[in-house]
Amino acid sequence: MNLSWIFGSSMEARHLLYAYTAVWAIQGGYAGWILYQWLRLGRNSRPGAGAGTHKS
Amino acid sequence: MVWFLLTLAVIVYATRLGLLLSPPEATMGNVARILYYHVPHSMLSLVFPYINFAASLAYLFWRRRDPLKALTADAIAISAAEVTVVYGSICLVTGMLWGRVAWGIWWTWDARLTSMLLLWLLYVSYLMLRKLSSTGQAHTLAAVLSVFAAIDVPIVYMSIRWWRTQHPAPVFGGGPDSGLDPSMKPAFGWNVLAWALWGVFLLTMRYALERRRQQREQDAALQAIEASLEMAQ
Repeated sequence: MNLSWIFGSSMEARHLLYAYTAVWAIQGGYAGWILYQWLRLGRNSRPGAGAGTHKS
Repeated sequence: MVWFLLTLAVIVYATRLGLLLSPPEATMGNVARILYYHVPHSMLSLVFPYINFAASLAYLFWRRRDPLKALTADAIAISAAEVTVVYGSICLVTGMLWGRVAWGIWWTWDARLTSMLLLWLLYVSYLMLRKLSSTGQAHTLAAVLSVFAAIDVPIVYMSIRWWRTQHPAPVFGGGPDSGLDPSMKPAFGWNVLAWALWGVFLLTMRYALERRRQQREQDAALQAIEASLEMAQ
């Protein structure tokens, strides 16, 4: 299968490549941001804290 | 994890179909393969706002009656708003890249493009309001904004039916001459499925993150109450 047209220098080829790359970059970037925030929140949690720990 | 791997496999398969196996479009050639990413993202960027809309209505209904349910609705609402912005951004970026080749211009202020940009701006405003407002009523104000933002969704959808636009007439449901060539349908269908699955995955992950953040806030509030009680004793 010849893929050379995807990496051609014409405007059509470049814009097709940019479009597909942009989609993966934006989607991957957002998923990566969610993962980063998830790990950061997990690290900041303090053991013993939370509902039910109040000493009444 | 299984959902993530399954989704990734479907995305790779759909991309392979769109980029390599489907034939070039008759008039535009290979650049029309942008359609396989542009149209599914555009369609889905009109679906996620309704999840945000329903969750915002639920939040407004429950915020005094049942705050715990309201928190759940709020987490769904912000997740759907962020995914809307992600999908809307891709719709606009890929549309401009395609438009530059097909029309010779990056942008034109026709009804479809303008109403889509407005939709994107409304959901960016929603997120900014939640992030930057210091009134204490940010979630309620954002929920009200999202109800108004949802009104733009049918306008975006109908814009190419109501007005003459630079954007092409509807491919689906646009009349007897509309529709995709049968050779393009598998790639298109798989890409719609792939990006819908990915959208649900993102929505679920973002919801879980927001619930974890809410839990941390509740923990911090409880600790502050405990500390103030100990000081009072």
